[in-house]
Amino acid sequence: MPRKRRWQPGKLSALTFLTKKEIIRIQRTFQSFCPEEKDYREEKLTSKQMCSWPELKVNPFRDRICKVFSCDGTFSFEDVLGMASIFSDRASPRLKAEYAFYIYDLNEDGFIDKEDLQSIIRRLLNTEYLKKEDLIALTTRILGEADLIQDNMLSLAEFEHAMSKSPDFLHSFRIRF
Amino acid sequence: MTGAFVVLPELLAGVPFGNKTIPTEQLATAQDLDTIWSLGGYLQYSVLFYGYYGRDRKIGKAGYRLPLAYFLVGMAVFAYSFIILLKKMAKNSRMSLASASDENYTFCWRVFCAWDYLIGNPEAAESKAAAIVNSIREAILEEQEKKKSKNLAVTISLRIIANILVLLSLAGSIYIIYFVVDRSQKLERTKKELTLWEKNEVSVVVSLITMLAPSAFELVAALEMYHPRTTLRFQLARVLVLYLGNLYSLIIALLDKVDSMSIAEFEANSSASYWIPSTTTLITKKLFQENLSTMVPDINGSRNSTFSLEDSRTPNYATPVTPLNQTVSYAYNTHNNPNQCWETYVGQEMLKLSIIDMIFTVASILLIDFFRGLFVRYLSDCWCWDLESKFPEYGEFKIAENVLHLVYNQGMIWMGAFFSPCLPAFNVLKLIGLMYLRSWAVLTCNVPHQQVFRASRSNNFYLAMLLFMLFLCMLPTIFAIARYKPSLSCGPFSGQEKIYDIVSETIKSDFPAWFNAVLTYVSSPVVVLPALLLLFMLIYYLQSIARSLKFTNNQLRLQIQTERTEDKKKVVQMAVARIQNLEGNDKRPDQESDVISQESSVRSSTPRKNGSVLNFESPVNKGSRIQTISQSVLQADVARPANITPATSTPLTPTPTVPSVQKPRAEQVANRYSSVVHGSASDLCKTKPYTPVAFKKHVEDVHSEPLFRKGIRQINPDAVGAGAPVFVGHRAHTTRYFIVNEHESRKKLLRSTSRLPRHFRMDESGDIIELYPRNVRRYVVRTPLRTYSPHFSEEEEEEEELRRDLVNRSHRPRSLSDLRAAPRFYIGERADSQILTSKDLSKVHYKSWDDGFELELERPPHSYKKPHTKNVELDKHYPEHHVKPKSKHKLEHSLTESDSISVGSSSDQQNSSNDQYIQVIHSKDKYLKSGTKLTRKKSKTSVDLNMSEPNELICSNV
Repeated sequence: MPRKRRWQPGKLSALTFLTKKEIIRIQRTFQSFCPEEKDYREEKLTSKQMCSWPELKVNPFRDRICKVFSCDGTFSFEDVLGMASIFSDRASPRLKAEYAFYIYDLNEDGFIDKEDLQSIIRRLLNTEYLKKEDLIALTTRILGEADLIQDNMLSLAEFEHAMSKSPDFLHSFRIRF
Repeated sequence: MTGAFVVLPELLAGVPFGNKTIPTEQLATAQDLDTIWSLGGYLQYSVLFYGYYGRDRKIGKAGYRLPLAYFLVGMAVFAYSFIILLKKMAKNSRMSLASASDENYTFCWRVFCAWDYLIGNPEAAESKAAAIVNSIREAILEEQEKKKSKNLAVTISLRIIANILVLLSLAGSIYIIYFVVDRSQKLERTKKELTLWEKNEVSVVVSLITMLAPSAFELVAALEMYHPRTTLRFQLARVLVLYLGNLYSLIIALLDKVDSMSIAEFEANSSASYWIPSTTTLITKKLFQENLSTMVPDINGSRNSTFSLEDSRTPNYATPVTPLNQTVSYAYNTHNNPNQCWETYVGQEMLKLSIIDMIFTVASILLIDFFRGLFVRYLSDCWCWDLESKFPEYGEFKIAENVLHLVYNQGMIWMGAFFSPCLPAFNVLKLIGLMYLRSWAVLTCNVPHQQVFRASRSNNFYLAMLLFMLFLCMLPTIFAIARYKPSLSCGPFSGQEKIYDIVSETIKSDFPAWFNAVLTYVSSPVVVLPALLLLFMLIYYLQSIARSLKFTNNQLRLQIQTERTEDKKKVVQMAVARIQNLEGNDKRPDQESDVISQESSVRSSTPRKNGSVLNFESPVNKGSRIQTISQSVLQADVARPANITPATSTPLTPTPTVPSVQKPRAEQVANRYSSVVHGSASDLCKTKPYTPVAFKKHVEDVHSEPLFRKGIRQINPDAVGAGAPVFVGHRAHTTRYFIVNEHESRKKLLRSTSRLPRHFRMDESGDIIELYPRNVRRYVVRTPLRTYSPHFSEEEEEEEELRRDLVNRSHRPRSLSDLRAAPRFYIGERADSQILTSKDLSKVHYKSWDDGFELELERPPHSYKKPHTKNVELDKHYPEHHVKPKSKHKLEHSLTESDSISVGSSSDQQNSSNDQYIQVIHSKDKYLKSGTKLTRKKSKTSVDLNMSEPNELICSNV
């Protein structure tokens, strides 16, 4: 029987990049997904529930985000905090880039390869149609830019490098929970 | 601003003054739609226009100087616009400078940074997706543009044609406008009643041209085949020129008219003076005129002449000529010149233009976008082709053109603001209304433009256009102000020669005398000319500074570029190193297998690997190795006698060549790693925990080594010429060293047996580490096999000496097994590349005579690791081979080695060895001499070593 811990947003905020306020807000949202009488700390949300959070609802990569940040497809409160922490403004660029890499590595082979790229683009375009050859041209262009060792896929280092030069990666890769 | 300083005071306090009432004749028609439409009637005499404002110098009780305010405000509007625009542009350019980067990762960023994770609302998500599509399309287009092959002749001719077409259409539009204005004037003169069309002809034509010409230009632009972005620029520039041309031709036509009006006035005046004597019979008319004048001081209607007004206002003409004036006015009436107040007239035209422009915009939005959208949307199902994707499609929202339209509107405001003070206010309302209409239309029935070329990022482009527009729009106004006499009958400046006289007048009358004097001085050429010169100089100076700054700017940018590429290179190197590591891992197993098969022939491959290993080894390993080496030397010295036998057992004839080879290598190594030694101290500390284990192993290894050395030394005097056997012996040594290294590695491994994988990661620098696990396993396997150890006792003794330092006994058995295996290693060693072995040997020798253990010692470890693995394998596989096979192998090896040495002198190592040959010999001599004394030296060295070792250990412990 785990010892009952007191609710300490301050402590949690020391462990994450989040402020107290953010943690309390997350906790509220989290609790709203839990059954009433139960302690939210022992509850786990499924990825599906997580994806229905307003912050993730329309994100084309929500399933990937859930996969990357959950353990075994479920979210404990800590998992959610961890995710929010990575997406907060204060997380370091490297950390963000790393998780972005995991999110974009759709087939989870440790590299962003052509296949990944194409499905990323497809996800981004939503329902919009892009010609097949354009898609291929785009992926080859991307690889040509960022694939420094010419192995036709992006490793974490390469991805990080490319992102570190980007002016708006930090702006775009954040979620305010 | 205008509202605050001009309109409000006029409304509040201006009522009792000026001519604000509508002439009675016009009252009848004032309510007609027709009149309202043409901005006549009530509107004409409202605050909307110049004519409404009174000319009294002061109004109200506070003495507000309205005319002055009118003039100053008019000027201030221009100045303010200028300043705001310039400020904004400067800010923008600063921003763009800050973010200016020749993006190397355009596509990456566009894809990976495209999604804004903050988006949490489906609509926003949809439009974001659309925006991403746009940006991606743009990127692709850009790419395609780059790749497009160009047929120069065709494109150039096409472009010329296109430009001619554009110029023609521009000229045509200007001519049409001029023609229309002219015609309308004629019509006004000849016709009494104008139709609706005739009245609004000018504005309608202008608006139509502004509507239609851009699409024509777009068609033309398709001919040119420019890059889409340049196409856009061209398009914008052309449209801007068109708009400007329209405005200009309009204003010029208007001013022309004004000119004719003022000329007419002048003529009228002069004719009036002529007619004073001639016409004396027009009393009735005079009476009539008097009536009118009494009733309404300002009679502006089409029937009333300006002169009546003038008379009432300007006493110079009026008093003597009133009756005659009437005739003149009548005569003028026949000319049908209704607009005695040209400022009002210009303002009216501008306002009319603005209104009609609004109507056309609304109409085009409704017709072109909305109804087309409806049509396409609802009829596409029952049409013969796909309406949505083919001909009519949905309208595209053309950001650029809409922005241009705004610019055009602004230009109209600037042009008309002076003559129609409420034009800006009206335009603001109009634009707000249009904005909402537009946004509705865009959201409901427009599709995003297919090529959005970062319209927002060319901010400064639009601002520059606006500035251009402002300047050009200001010119006519200023011209009019400076050139034309204000109309006499209306407005705040009536009765003055020029509009700007108001300023000088105010200065003269309302400021103290000294101020006036100062002003006259300041405006005298004495002051103005130097001031101008100074300004020119300033401009020149600033410009030159700007040029130099630009230059440095470019330089810095270049620097950044190069640094970036270097950055890239670094990353590449890192990546390459990683890959090599991976490959190395793959190879090592191969090496091992090679080693197994080495006996037969595979030797060449291993040396390479060893070499690579040397490079990769991490400083951490060095420290531990150093210690081990020193120990080995000592041990070797001690163990010589005992060890000799085994060494001798192998038919080794140490030749001078061997030592030579060895020494050079050692030196080289020393050179290479001398620097490393210093740094390795910290590494040593790290490795300290391991070192004790290493020592034991080393000791064991050393035992084997000393044997070889001794054998070599002994042999050396005997057989100087036979280098082959020596090599073999050396090889043995080297092999042992390798073993030592292995031990170290093993120790690490053993220690971390549970966390082996982590270790590997830690020691990424050297691929070797990764190999270790295998070695360890092998070791374990071997132990049972290697039960015999001729040198065992010696080794043990040595070990005992070292034991203080040696903490880990658990490793011992393994080390022992290694020691036992050592003899077998010879075989394995043969397999190893000769070069490597020679190097190793050299190192060993070096240590023995030279006191500087550290440098030399450090080097060997790097090279040894791979051989170790080989040896181990060999041991495993060849426990039975023992001495005999060794000897055979050795012979073979020796032959091969000698061959290789002689033949392969080309290799750097060998060359170096040759160069250092003499030194080697010396060392040999020393060796030989000291052969007997070796024990002493060794003992000394051993003492030193021991001393040093404990120190090191202590350090490590700390």
